Amino acid sequence: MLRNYLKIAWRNLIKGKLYSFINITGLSIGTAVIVLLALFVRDEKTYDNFHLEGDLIYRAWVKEHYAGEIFFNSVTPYILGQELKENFPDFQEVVRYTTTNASMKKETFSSDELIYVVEPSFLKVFNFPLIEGNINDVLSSPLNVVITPDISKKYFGNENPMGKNISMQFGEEWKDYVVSGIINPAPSNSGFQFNVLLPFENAKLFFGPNAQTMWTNVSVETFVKLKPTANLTAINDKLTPFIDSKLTGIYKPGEYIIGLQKLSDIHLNNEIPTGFMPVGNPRYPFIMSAIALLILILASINFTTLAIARSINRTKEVGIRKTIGAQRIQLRSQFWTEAVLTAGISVLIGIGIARFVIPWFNGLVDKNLHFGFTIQTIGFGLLLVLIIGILSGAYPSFVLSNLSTIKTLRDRISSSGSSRHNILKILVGFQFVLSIVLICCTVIIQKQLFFIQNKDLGFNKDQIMIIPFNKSGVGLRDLMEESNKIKVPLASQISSLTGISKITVSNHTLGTLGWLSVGYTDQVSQKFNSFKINGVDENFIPIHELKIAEGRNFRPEGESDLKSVIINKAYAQEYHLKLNELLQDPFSDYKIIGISEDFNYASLHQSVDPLVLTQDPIGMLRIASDVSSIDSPNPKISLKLPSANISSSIASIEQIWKDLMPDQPFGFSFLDDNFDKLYRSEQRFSFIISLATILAIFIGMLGLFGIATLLIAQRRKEIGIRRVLGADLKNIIFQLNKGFFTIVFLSCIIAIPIAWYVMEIWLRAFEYRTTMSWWAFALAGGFAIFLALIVVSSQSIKASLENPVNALRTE
Amino acid sequence: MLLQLKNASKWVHVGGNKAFLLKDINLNVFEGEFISIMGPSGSGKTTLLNVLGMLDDFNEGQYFLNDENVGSMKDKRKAQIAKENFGYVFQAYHLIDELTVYENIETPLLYQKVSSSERKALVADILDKFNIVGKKDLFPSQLSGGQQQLVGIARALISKPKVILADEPTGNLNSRQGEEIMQLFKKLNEEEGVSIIQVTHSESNAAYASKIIHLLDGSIEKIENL
Ligand SMILES: Nc1ncnc2c1ncn2[C@@H]1O[C@H](COP(=O)(O)OP(=O)(O)O)[C@@H](O)[C@H]1O
Ligand SMILES: [Mg+2]
Repeated sequence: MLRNYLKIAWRNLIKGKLYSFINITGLSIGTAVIVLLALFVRDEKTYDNFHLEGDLIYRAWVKEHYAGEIFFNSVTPYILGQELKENFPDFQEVVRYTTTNASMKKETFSSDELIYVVEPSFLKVFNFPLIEGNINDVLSSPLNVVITPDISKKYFGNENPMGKNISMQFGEEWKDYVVSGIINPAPSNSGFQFNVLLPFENAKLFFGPNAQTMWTNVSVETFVKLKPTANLTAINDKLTPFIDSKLTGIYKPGEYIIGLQKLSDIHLNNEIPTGFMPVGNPRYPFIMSAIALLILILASINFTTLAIARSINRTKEVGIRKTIGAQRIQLRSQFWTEAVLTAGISVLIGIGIARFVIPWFNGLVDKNLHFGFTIQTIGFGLLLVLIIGILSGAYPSFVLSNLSTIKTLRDRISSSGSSRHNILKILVGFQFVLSIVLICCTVIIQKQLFFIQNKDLGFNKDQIMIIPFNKSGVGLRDLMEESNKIKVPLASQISSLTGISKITVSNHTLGTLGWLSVGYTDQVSQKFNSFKINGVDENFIPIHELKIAEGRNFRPEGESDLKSVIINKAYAQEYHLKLNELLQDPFSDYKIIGISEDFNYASLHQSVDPLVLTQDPIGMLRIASDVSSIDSPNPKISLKLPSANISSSIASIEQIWKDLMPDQPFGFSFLDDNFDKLYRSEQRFSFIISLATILAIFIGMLGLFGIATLLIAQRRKEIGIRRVLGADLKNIIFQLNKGFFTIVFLSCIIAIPIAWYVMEIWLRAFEYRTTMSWWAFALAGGFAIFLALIVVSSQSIKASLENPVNALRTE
Repeated sequence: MLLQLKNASKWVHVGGNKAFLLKDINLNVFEGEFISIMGPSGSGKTTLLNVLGMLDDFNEGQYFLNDENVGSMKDKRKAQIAKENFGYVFQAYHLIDELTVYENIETPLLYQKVSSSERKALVADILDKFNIVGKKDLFPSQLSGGQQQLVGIARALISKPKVILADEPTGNLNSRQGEEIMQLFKKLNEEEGVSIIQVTHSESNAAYASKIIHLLDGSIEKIENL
């Protein structure tokens, strides 16, 4: 029997080539999207889930109430780990680690690396297998280093690095380390993306004695592994009084809280602040799943609508089958076999497509996904076949097999035919609603991206080239001194060779994520305050075309202006300061000589924070009690390239640079590129949404095309009659398109408020956002109507051009 | 003269050979004439009727309508002329299933931009004349074949054509229903001067006409004046 079903199903697939093509195309695209997005979601959801007994591993966080503010951090005091280890027998292991950037050197080759400074238990708590070396002693001596094969290749080439020396620089000093082990890099779905592991003793090289003992200074992430018998609530109950007792006199009970966060919770919980590990946006897996589901639904609807449209022709077949004794269940099985067969073919093709485009998709989402044939994935494929098959076969199999024999044999569109038309309209309308929502979202997202990329940022970012000082091994102060010294000869040579008259040296360039943040406690209010600073020179403002609202720029040859600062309006407002006044305590050595207009030096996700531009950043940092920056404050040169001969200018600058500073690597970027990078996540998101929209529209339009073809073919006779009765082409096309347009139009009315709501939420993530103009929605709706017009008209025009004599010939 | 077909031929190519559907047809139709076309199946009756009704083209010869050469007309004018002059009646009625009796009859007027009040009056008139007022809100599927054909004829007449072209109008009806349709044709022809050209297989129905044209293999075999 099954063979017979399959045979008939196959024949029907072959016979209705157009419909099979539409179904299979839609469903395979749907499958490909599902597979890719499922891999993405799985990757996001399985961060660090591969550690043995991973559910016993927790990360500590700190919540500190201080001077009326709450400091919430997943980076903890250095001392916490030690205290937990000594006082909590419920933890079988405690592991601290921190990360730092340092220069690494092997003979003459040197480069910057991200270094993980870890306690030896790191390798026991987490499952990162060593390729060489013994887990018990690779990190036992402070001068050991463990590296990944990539690093080994980079510094040692094909040599075996084991036991060899490599030097690293912390502060001003170079130290030699011995390679004691080689470790597999972490899988891509791990928060620990290490290349170099150093024993924890090295942390003392950059954390001073205070940082090592104070509870108010956070510096390391602290992980604990519970004993299997331990009880988390009991531990939490013990933690609070323990911390309170440690901090009596400094904090009142309850003002300083330590909590534990499950390892598996870290990647997708953005309510706890990011520590050293990247935190994904928990909305993305959700959005991705929604998109995948959406596209699958669209494709399944195609299957259903086409089946309904065809069923109007197949009722007769059903009737005949019934009169010759087919039972309902047999008819159902027939329709379901067809659906499952189509789904099976589609899933196979879809998986093929997915495998083919995975490398490209990886680039898009910045991941390293791959699809292998495992029991899991094969099961997933089979599940997909079943879901798609059952979903799309449901309507035809139930409704058609339930038709009464008499009705089906009457060669007229019966009442059940018109109810079928209604279901068809609803389904097609639903597809349009989804498509229009997606189109609206795409338009608004594009509009927002255009907005942030073209917003008047308060400066001119065009053609500004940035060259960082990368020479490793020199402290910030020395690096700044050197850069200031080299600036004059560099500027004069660049000027004589390229005609570029000004260059500027600054700690930060515009469009980066985090400038130096200076924290201090206000003497009067006892409140903790912070503001941003950037060390600049007199050319910074003119080169970026920043606007000074009051006062003046720095004078050239900065000595006289060393204790002068320029603040932005946000600063003046926040601290109630005016031109020519001194900064607030403890920075009262510095006098305000200028107030600039606010300019968006960071991303448009953030509002403009109070900012001080100074020629004496080192002096100001020394006064601050708390300094942090996301971006390196190492000096950078910025200059404005002339609009002509850009590449030859760059070549000349590179030559001058290399001549003047043979030991300084030359690298550059452009300010506007850096700005674009700030919105990479949005651009990626926008790209994915656009792509989903295109696919959704494509699938929807394919379906519409199929339905239009079928329905219009069914009206062939009617069209013939109308032609004979004197209808002209315009009349006929209007008549045929009318029904479809009512559907599209109603869909617009339903879709637009939905899209409006969704985008309202999305835009909230931006401090500066575009308006949701009516035209964006009109455009989206218009586009949908336009596409439907083309698709439906292609069929209606064809039908209206047919000689009515042919349609009306009686057999 | 109302219609004049001169040496008209129509053919299709079948495997490189010309297959004649109509061959050298000469035919004159005067205003107010009632003509029957007879002939075996496949002899070209429908084709001839379609050519006369300007629903189909021919390959050779000339066709004059009110002494105007149809061959030299633009498409738009042709469509206009056809609308004004012809009403078509089909064997299979060809009513639009989704429309009521009333709407079916009204449809040709919609395509002639007749005002709505005038449409109402015209349709009411003809419903009355054909005695189908009570059926006006029914759908075709709710009518018997004879009633459907009545509606078909009413629809053909609504735009006051000069000629009714009827292709086996009684082919799907029983003899009593067929008789009624023929009576109706006769009445229309005699009382209102509508020209009628009908294709029929029935000798008795053919006899309602004043002239019978016998077709064989696309040619006129003979013309019989009654
Ligand atoms: N467009 C066409 N192409 C090919 N053959 C046609 C076409 N139209 C009609 N015929 C053929 O021409 C012959 C005459 O058709 P028709 O006029 O319908 O005959 P009748 O109405 O007398 O039965 C038939 O054999 C028919 O199959
Ligand atoms: Mg015929």
